[in-house]
This record gives sequence, structure tokens and C-alpha cells, in this order.
Amino acid sequence: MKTRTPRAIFTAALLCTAGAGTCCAAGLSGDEILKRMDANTSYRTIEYDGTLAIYSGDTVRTKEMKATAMGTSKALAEFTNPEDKGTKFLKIDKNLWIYFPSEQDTVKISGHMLKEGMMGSDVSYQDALESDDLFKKYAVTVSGEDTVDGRPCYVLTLDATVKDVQYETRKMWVDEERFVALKQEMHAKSGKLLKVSRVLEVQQIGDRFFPVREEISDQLKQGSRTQFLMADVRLDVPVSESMFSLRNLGR
Amino acid sequence: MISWRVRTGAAVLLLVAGAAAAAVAQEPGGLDLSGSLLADVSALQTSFESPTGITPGGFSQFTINMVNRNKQFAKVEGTGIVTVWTGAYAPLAASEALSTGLFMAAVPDNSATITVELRKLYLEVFTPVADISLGRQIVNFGVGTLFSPIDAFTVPLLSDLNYVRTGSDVVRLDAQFSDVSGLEAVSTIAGGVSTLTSALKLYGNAFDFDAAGVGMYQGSRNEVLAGAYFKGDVELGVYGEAVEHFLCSPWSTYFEGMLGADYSIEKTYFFTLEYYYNGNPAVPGSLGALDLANAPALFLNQHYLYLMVRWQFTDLAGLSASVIWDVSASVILPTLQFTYNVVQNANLVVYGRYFSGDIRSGAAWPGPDFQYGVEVQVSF
Repeated sequence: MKTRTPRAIFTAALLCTAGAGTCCAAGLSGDEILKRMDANTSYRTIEYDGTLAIYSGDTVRTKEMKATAMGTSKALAEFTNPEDKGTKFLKIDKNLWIYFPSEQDTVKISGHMLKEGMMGSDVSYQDALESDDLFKKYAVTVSGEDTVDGRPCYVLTLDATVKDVQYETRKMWVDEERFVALKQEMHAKSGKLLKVSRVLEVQQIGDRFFPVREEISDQLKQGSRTQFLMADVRLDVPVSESMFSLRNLGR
Repeated sequence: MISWRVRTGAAVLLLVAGAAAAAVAQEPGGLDLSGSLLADVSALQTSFESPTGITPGGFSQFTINMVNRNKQFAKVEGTGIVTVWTGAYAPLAASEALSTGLFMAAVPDNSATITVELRKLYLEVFTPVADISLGRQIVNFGVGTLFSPIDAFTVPLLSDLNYVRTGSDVVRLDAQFSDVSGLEAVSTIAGGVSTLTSALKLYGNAFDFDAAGVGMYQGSRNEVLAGAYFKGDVELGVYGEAVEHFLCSPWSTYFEGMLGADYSIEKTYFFTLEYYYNGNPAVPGSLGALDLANAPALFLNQHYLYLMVRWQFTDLAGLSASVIWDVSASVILPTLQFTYNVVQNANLVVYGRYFSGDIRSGAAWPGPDFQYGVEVQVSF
């Protein structure tokens, strides 16, 4: 199977990779930087235990889950914390379904629900549905160099080339040594800053550097931010393709 | 004196599924248990004109869920709910339990009633061809939030603030052709054809729309139903159901349908609107409890609307207002709810409801006009 860019549920908008670079800086083009990022974070399958820490001012609520993804198009997450126990999300391409165990009900997420934060977090369902198609929708330029948390970074600017995008522009700070996007800003067409994400912890798994703790904040929600922690990350493990089906969702 | 009502079918299922649960529990992994505690303190008021007619009531509810951890070959899942009703709710709960066949115990002066509901308890076996399940389970056959004419197996509980659905004793088979399409067959566990309800559903996903065709037989009314539903996204979320009823004796047909839409503004305001059309409206006037229990649909008049607006002003707090409107009889059931996540796994709900009549039939409402209260729910 072809190795694909990671786009596990909840991290869809955060682990940004491929694109079409046009400018050069410090000897690397945007294209080359994104290819290095892609090589660093690519996998066929991934399994991990996830924790969402949702901050609203000084208050925090945590949600736990077990997640499995295959390439960019298929993902399954099951929540394990008491309030949401047994609630599952299934992503197949651009479709997303939720299974509610208390009602034994499978609901296709569409319309207004796509704009809601997943389980009350700062990550919307639309974020989770983004795939590597995203990078076919942006032109990337290297706009300079900067430091994030003391680490030198390439600064990339991604401009939408099609209309069907959530964020018109994205600005990305990519670690020059580890090729991980340490920070990202997502803007509306008006230029308004909509979301900011930061990688708080990077783990070396084999010969790759993998972001395992990230924070995303919805700039439209005052005092709101969500930290996403991935633990016990297992890459390229055997996963049955049949688990990504509506039939399996209710099991 | 304590009176007990036991539904025979449920008791048999309890024994069958209980044995299956015990068998599965021996597998490595055992059972996963979760649940919640809910305390409600509220009041019923006959009218604003007579504030002395306020009667306190409330209930304490314990819900326990169980599912086996090792689900490689089979799943056993159950939900049991024990509720202690007090004050004004005690006689109402006793009356409802008598008509629905719940386990029920009441103290002689009707000051307290205990009900036990087995909402789910079923065994599901996974085979390479299909998943087969047997026992009490919630069968969601349609896509409507409140109105779902295609769903003959379960109805929403109008007495519940969230309109939860109850379980049915059924055998069910789900065979998938692809990740998103398949064939589902469901049949009630019945003593004869006259009490049987059976259905087949062919479902799939095309152009990012979920869609299905349904065929059904209802022995109690000797009728065949043919229907379809869809759910998708065209700027706003849209969904609908259509059912044609074919009654065999005497031969007649009629149509039921619903259309729904949902939308949001700035991730803060959420709207849901549903319209329900019933081509077989009940004769206007009062219907007895038995008539309502055996009625062909949950909502008996011709035109209904359901509107829900939710204002999620913080991640932890939200205010929602909903109304069910019987257009034909001009009866409304509005509900106002404030929900606040107090601490991790604990929610506070403050609510109020108004009953202008019986929303099911449009008849005069024998109960109180207003209901308001406070609920605290803790999950574990």
C-alpha cells in the first residue's frame, strides 16, 4: 500500500504536509520542505490513545479515546471517558458518521453539525474531514525564517487556489531540523485569524519525529483552547480494512 | 401493599440474554460497566391563574450500562434504569407503567413509585456474512429527530426532555455490501402473525447522501408499508422520510411523510426544523389511554411542526428552546432548557414546559399545564 500523509481524526488540520512550492529560502523550496515533512510523518496505518483537554477559561474538561486510521481517508475513534463512553466516529473519505450507544443510533454528520466543535472541542467536524486534498488546494511559498520555542523554523504561506476551502490562507512554522509544523495560523478570506495551532511535544518514533501533543485555539471563542495528546502511538501496524464500515460502527 | 406488573416477554429475554452475558463474561476482558445518576426536583402547576395548584414532584434515577469487552465474535449489551418517582410524579409513573408494561412497585398511598425499565439487553453475533442480534434493542429505522414515520419499532418518549427512544424485543440481521451500504432485516419477537412487525431496509450512500428504501409488514393492522428516506447536505442539512401505507382489510391507502432541515450561525446558534404530515389523522376528540396505546402513529393529527433553537454561549453552557406544534388542533408543547456542565461528568439542567393540550391527539389535556424543575446528572 502506498504510504500516505497522516490525517488521523482530530489532527486533520494540524499535521500539514504536501503542497506545491514556488519560492526558495535557505536552500530549500516550499515543495522540498513539505516533502521532508511528508516523509517524516507519513504512515500506512496508525493506532493511538488520544486525550482531548478542552479549556474554557480556567475550566478544563477531558475526553479520552482510542483511535485508528488508515491512510488519509479512513479513521475510527471510540470515546472511553464516562460521559461519552462508547460514542464512535467513523470517517470515510468526505463522510462522517457518529454512533451514539445509548440510542443505538448512527447519525450522518452534515449541514450545521459540521461546524460544531467535535465533542465541544476547538476542532470542528470540518477540520476532521480535511484530507490531503487540502494541499492540492493551496499554493505554498517560503516567506522567511523565524523561531518557535527557541527552534529555528521555515515560515511557509499557503494561499488557496480553489474556492472550496475552510481557510483562505495558512501560515506555517516548520522546524528546520525535525521538519514538523510547530505552529500554524489559519485565516479567513477577510484576513481574520480563525484558528491557531501549536505543537507542544514531539516524539521520536523510529527515525521519525512525530507531534504527539498539540494545542488548537478557536480565535472566535474567547478563552477557548483544546490540547490533543496522543499516547502509545503505533505506526504501520496491521489493521483490518473492514473496521472502517457502518456495520462495524455499531459493534 | 406492593403491586407488581411483569411483562412476560421481557422476563424471558432477560433470562436468555442474561445467560448469554454470563457466557461472554467468562471470556478474557469481562464486562465494561458505566452509568449515571440523575436527581430531578420539579413541580407541576395546573395554571397560572391558580398558583395554589402547584404540586411538588421529582425522581431519582439510576442507569447502568454494560457491554462485554471482548467483541471479536459477539457483543452483549444492556441498559437498565431504576427510577424512584415521588410526589406528583408517583401516580403518573404508576399509570404509565401499567400501560407500557414496565416493572413497577408503588406504596399504598401513591406517594412513591419505583419503576424498572430494561431499555436494552441483547446478544449480537458477528458472522462473515451478517451481524445477527436478538433481544431488546433500540431500532432507529429513520432519520428524523422527532418525527420518523418510517420507524415502526420505536417512538420517542414525549415525557423525556430529550425525547429518548425505548427498546423493542426484536431479532435483527445486518448484512453489508460495502463500507456504507447493506441490507437490514428486523422482526419483532411475536406469538403470531397478528402481532408481528417485520421490515427490510436497503441502504447506501451516494453523492454524499445517505438513502434507503424500506418495506414493512405490521400484523396488528394487517398492513404493508413501503417507504424511503434520505439525509444529506445542500448548504444546510436536509433529510426526509416518505411512507405509503397499504391496509389490507378493508383495502385502503394513505401517506405519511416528514421533511427536516438543520442550520447553524457562527457555531453558536443551531436550528432544527421538522414538518410531519399524517394522511391518516385520528378522529378529533378525546382518545382513551388504550386508544392512544394502540394508535397507528405517535402523532395522530394531520400536520405537525417541530422547531428547536439552541444557543451555545460557552463550551460549558447552552440554552435551548423547542416547540412541538400540532397545527391542526392548535396545541403546542414548548420546552425551555438551560444546561451547564458543572464539573467533569456532571451536568445541571434547569427546564420548563407548557402543555396546552394533548400533543398526540389534540384533545384536552387532563394533566397539569406547566412543568418546571432542576436536574443534576452525574456519569460514571
